[in-house]
Amino acid sequence: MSSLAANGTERSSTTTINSFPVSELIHGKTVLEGGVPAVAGHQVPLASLRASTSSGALSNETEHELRPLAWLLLSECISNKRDEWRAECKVIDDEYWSFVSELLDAEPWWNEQEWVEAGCFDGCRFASTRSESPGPDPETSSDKSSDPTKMTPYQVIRAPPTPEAFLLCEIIKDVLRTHPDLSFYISPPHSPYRLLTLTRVLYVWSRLNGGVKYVQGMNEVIGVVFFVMGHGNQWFKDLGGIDTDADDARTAKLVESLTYKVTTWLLNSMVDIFTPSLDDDSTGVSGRISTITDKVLMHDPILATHLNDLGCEGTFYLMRWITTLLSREFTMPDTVRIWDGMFGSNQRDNYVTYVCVTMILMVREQLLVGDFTKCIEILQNYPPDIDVDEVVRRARALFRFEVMVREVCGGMRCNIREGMQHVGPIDGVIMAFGWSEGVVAGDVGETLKHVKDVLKVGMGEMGKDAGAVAKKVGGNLWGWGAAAMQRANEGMERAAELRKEKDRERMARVTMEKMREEKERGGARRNWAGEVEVEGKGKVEVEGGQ
Amino acid sequence: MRLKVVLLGEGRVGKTSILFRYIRNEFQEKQQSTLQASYMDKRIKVGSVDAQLSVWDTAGQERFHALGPIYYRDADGALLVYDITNSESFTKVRKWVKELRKIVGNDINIVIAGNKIDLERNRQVSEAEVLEYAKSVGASHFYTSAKQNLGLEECFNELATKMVAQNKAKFAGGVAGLGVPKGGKSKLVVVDDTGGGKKSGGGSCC
Repeated sequence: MSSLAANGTERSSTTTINSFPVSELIHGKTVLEGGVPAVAGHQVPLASLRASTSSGALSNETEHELRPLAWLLLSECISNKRDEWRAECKVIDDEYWSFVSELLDAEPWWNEQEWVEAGCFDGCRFASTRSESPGPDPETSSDKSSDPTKMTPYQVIRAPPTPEAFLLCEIIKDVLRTHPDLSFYISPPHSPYRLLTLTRVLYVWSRLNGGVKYVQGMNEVIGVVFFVMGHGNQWFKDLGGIDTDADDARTAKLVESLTYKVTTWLLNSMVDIFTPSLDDDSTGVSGRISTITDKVLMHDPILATHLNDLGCEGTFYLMRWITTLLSREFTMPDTVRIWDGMFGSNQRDNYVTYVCVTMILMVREQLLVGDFTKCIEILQNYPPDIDVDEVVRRARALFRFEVMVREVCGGMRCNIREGMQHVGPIDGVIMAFGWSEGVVAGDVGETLKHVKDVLKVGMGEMGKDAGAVAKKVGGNLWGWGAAAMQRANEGMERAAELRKEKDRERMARVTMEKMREEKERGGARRNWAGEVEVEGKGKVEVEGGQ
Repeated sequence: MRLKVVLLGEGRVGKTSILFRYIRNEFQEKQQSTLQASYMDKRIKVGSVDAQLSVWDTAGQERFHALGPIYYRDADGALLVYDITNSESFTKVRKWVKELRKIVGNDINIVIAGNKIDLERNRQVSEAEVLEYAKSVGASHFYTSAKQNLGLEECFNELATKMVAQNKAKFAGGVAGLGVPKGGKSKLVVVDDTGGGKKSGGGSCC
């Protein structure tokens, strides 16, 4: 994780991503070499902040403290106008705490202090209280306590008097087991209050989104946001106009409301995932799973076929990847690094999709030699030794390559194979359109031979008949390729016609040249959308090694 | 012989803990919630038969219910788990039995586990009710505690024995010839010693 900080210069020279120190972007103080101001005026240049954040600049030792601010800015919870931050934070704070008082504090069965003192937010005490001092006999307690104002917290937990109380209890039970490996959440004396924060944020969001309510997994998402926001106290004191060292409670309140704001931004775009009636919709959970497995099939038909043959369905592992935005697959620092890319991306769904595809491709060698049990084990317990910086880098490379090939194919009206040859390989691509590293190896026949070779190695270990499997996979490759081949043939015919017309040929060459130029610049000016960034004029590439 | 087992039950009753304890002999006080289904397998011996239990541990929360069929559709056995300190979770067991009988039929072997027996003093589910119900649907019932490692071996052994007997019966009945009973669900042979119960269970559901 910290490898980026250590090899920062080396890494940036290979990726050639123009990355400014985030502190300069946010505070607008520093001046670039050559005397050109990096940022001027009162606004944070969001496009540059996006680029820096997604390239991992916040992993740097000296910069990571700015992450809370960067995430707030990139999620547009606060505007890019520095002068307005204080006022904006006040609005967010007031709004959230009025929700809390209206939706939670007003409930007759709720008394914050009483719940905290009873140990409801203390995981260990919670469990032992339940087992060893059950309080009043549960059989009779439900009769006695028909008046919710007189119920003790544990009576409420045992027999929630209202749907709202039930919701809160559901949330508490999961909050107690959210990121149980992090001292941030389990160490006293802060632990109960931090778990209370998670509970409140989840409860308020769920009440305000009654159609979705609370779904397990949301706790993980909020757990990441609060972890990051909770590490930015000094900035928040400033934002809230709070005296340093004084009034920690006020800071904590502001941190909580900002956590809520960022969470809302994240969850609102994920609502379809949590809605059963939209399961088959393209934005619902099954739709998103298919988007990912379709991409794997397109780029790595060998692997996709292998997983398919084993019965290793995408649902078995992608469900959790998607609903928690990968936070259960990685350690907290790695998750945060992946999320930096997500906040920095202006196409969040695409980003998550390509990261998931890349995660699968990065373990393809292990998967190809694995049986069902092995493959499921790898994908449900993603190997911890995979470098997330590599995942992000390769995901971006694949995305860029795919976009460029499509553009060339469109511009030159050629087939994908020709398009790939024109674009040429991009560093970081693992598999693209069925070809390893995106390198077109001769004709389709050669590709098939390659497929068979791979399988001989892979299947040999499993004691299967390599020939039969290769034939099957080959068949599938052709099956997958049938449409592509048809398009390719059509494309070639069309290309032959075009070649007769010199003008058009020149047009094609111009398109191609443009794409080459684009590529030589390392795609530095391209963001996730494949759009050319306008704000990049003052940027310099960090050629650290030279 | 490969036997597919699915763990079903309401959220937070201890399905994952049961599986971790049974397969790896591990227990975590703060087990994270299961969000889809996780897979684990274990080789066991049932009498003279070598069997591989392929166990799917499913997510309990209602939201994930709709995605359940892909896990239990072709299962040979189901372990339905409830929490003895939570009466709601036992109601859920009844729902699961109905759903399984409706979708998978009578071929799926069911064992019911009353988990968290270490919290006996907080019991909310009456023993008489449970036993009567289990009998009525032809299921065995066990008390378990993943925390204290109680009743788990018995529970899985019973389920495995039932599944093996059923698979053997299928071979004897000449169902298909391929060795893998997957998909080839037969309605004809059920070898069991609770025949009466099973019939009444089937009758009320189908």
